[in-house]
Formats: sequence, structure tokens, C-alpha cells
Amino acid sequence: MTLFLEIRKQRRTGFFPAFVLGGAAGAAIPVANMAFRSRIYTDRLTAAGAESPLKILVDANWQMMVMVNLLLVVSGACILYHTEFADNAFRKLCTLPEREWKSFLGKWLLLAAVSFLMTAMEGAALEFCRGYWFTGRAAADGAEYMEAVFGAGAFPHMDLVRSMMYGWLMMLPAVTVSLLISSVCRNMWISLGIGVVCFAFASMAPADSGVPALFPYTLAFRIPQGEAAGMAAEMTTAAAATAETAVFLAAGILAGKIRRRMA
Amino acid sequence: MSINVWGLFRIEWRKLRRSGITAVYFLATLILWIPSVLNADLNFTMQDVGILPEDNFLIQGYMGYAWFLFPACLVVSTVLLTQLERGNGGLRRMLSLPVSPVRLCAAKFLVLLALTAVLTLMSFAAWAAGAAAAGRIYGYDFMRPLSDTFCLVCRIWLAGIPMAACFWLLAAAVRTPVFAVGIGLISIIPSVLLINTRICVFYPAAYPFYVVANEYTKLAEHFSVSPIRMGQWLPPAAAITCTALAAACGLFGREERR
Repeated sequence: MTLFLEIRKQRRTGFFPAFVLGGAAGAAIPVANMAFRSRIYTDRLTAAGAESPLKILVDANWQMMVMVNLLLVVSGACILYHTEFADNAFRKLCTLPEREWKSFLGKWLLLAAVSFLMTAMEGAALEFCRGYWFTGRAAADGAEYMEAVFGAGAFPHMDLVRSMMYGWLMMLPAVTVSLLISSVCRNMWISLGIGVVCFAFASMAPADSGVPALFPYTLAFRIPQGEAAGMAAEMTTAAAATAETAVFLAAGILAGKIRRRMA
Repeated sequence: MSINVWGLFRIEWRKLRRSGITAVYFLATLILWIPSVLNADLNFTMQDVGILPEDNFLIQGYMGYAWFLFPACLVVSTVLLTQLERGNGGLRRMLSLPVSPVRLCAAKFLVLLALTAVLTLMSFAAWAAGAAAAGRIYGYDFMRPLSDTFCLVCRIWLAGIPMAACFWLLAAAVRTPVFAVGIGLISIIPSVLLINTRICVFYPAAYPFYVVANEYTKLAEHFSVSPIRMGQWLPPAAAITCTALAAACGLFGREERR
């Protein structure tokens, strides 16, 4: 119920077009990369110790796609609360016979849903790239080509779905923290500034292990492996990301209650 | 009697007193230099590039600054300048005064430049403090001549002016902040790919990063970016700046004046 309310609130802020265009921009990255420099990547398939096409694609493009996603999540989180704070709408919200944390949860669901949409668009682009430039090019005749692009078995391929789900899950801590920050800071430039600085920290100081790797924005930069080999490590980070998401969600709900107490 | 741009600048500057933007800048400079100080020993392993550790310390820090933090802080500052007054219809009141909207827009742009100058000075001070701290930790003098570094920092700031004009145009022209911010932030990402191409001179978000990469070329033996002559760069940069500023001043407060 609150989710629909939040969706209606964002109708005229450009929130949805921004995310659809952002998803398109993210999806354009692997396609453009393959269109301009496909030889670099297809050659890797025949090289010694060849990797799977999905791994080549993800290694080459995922980091930049995450940048697009994260920046949109940061600015999207700001706008979700900016509409409440700009004209003091949140004061009216406080007088309604509704619990305030429901609004936080609704906004969180909305932000998680649009980031899922972005990830899905990017996953479709990766699937297209794999079919068109890797398996399709290697196929000899037309029927084989169609089979390669659209898959002999289940479509879409499970390894890709798993990778994208993993990528989305890794994004959720950053989604939650960004929303928490923008719910606490009344001024949009402060919450945007903090989000941007956190993003810069994560992208300039990458970490794969230890405590720094658990920083919510750093987790988002994790590259999904898409193969059984990396499954154990992926399960660990996925659990960590889920736990962080839960903790920050609780913190967001608590922050709303505290603000109400103080008001 | 009408207020000139300088008077408006002083008024606009005073409005920012309680905005807390310096806290954001401070956080940005901390985040920029703390990892560099803690990992300063990495600078001793740069023999294959042929660069002195103290030079590498400076360049690596300012690469991150010029590529992302400086442009991103610019975007945040444009949000500050446009949203600070929208709250309670402040801009509408401002525009109802006998003040020329064009001058007001120009004054706000000057405030934006002044804010980035503050950020630049803060990053410079943080570099000096960071170099001293890293020297203490690793027993190697990471300091460089202050005047040299100051020149580099000033050049980064100057190269950022066309970009500031473009972001200011975005903020003035696009009413929905999520679009203005999103386009601004996302346009920063490709600059790292563009500095070695011919399009670079037409892409203002890449200018500051190019300045640092150019400095890197001078200091390191085995690193280079394709050189761009001043004559090649100045005409497009000036044209972009003037067009963006003129358009921003024309569009500023369009909604409120209606």
C-alpha cells in the first residue's frame, strides 16, 4: 500500500525516467565496448586458459556499470526524501494516522525495485552481447546461430541470472545506507555530498578482503563470478550484504522513530 | 539604483554561512588523502613508471581528485546553490526584487567558482598535511616544493571552470534535480576514457583530469598522454564556457518568473 503511495509521490520528479535512462546507459556500456573493441575480448576466448564469455564480459564492463547504478541510486535516494523535506511535507506526514517507518520501508522497496529494473536491463544487454559476439560468431550455420543466441536449453541462462541477482544483492547495502543518509539529512546537498564522497572512496580504494571490503559502497563493486568456482566466496559476501541491509534498514526505521520523538 | 554583480556575490556568499557545505568538502578531502597516507609505501614500488615517490604520492591523490571528487563536489555545489532558496519560495522573492536575473545568475556562478576555490585550497592544505604525516610514518620525505604543487592545484581549478559552467547550465535548465544531478555525475565517468582521444578538448568534464595526467607525463619517464596545445584547447573551451553561461543566465529562474 505504502509502496503505491510512494510511487505516486515520485510521479512528477523525473525519478522513473531517470532510472530507465540510467539503466539504458548502463546497458549501452557492454554493447558499445563490444562494438568498438570486440577483437580484444573475442581473442581472449581462444587464448590459453580461456575464460567463459560471461566472465570476460563481466570483468570488462561490470565496474563501469556499477558506477552508473550507484550514482543513480545515490541521487535517487536524495530525491525520494527531498520531495518530503523541500516543502515541509514530512510534517504533514507526521500528523497522518500512519506509522512513519512504513514510509521509509516503502521508499526502500521502491529504490530496491528500480535498481532491480536497472540490473535487469543491464543483464539483458550482457546476454545480448554474449549471444551476438561470442557464441553466435563461433556458430557455423544459421540454426546453430539461433540456438547459440537464444540458448539450447533454458532461456535466459541460469549463470547470467545468478550473476545479476548477485550484483543486485551487492547493491542493496548501498541502497539502504543512501536512503538512511537522505532520511536523516534535511538538506539535499548534504546527503548527496556524503553519498558522492562514499562512492569516491569505494571506487578509488577497492578492497577484496578484510573490514574495508565490507563498506556498503565497496560491496557494490564486487564482480559477480557467474561460475561454480567462485560460489563459496559469493555466498559469504551475499550473506554479509544481506546482514548489512537488514542492519541499516533497522537503523532507518529507528531514525524515523527518534526524529518523531524529538519533534 | 541596482546592485552590481559584486554586491550580489557578497549577498549570495553570506547566504551559504549555515549550509554546512564546508563539512562535505572537509569529508571529501579526508577521504581523498587518508588512504594515500596509509598506503604511502606503495609509492616506493613505482620504478617501472620512473617516478619519484613524492611525485607519485601527489599525482595519485590528485588523479582521484580531478577525475571524480572535484567534478562531483561541483555537482553537489550546484544543488546547494539552486535548492538553498527554493525551500520557502526564496528565489521567487529574490526575483521579485529590482534585481536583474542575469546578474543574479552570474553572481551565483561566481559563488560556485569561489566554493570550488575553497575546495581546492582545502585539498592543497590536506596534501601538505598528508605528505608530512606520511613522511613521519614511513621515514621518507614526501614533501615537494609548495609553489609547484600550488601551481598544479590552481591549474586544475582553472581547467574546471568550463565544466562548472556546464554543470551550472544543467542545474539552471533542468527543473528536476534528479536529472540534473544524475546527468552531471554520470558524465564524469567517461572522462577517464576520453583523455587520450581527440574528443577530449570538447569534453569539459575531462579537462581537470587531463591537467593531472599531463603533469604525470612530465614527472614520469614511462607514462604519457597525447599532448594538447593551448591553441587547440582554448577556443573550444572558451566557446563552451561562454555558451553554457549565456544559456544558463537566459534560463535562470524561468519557472519563478512565469
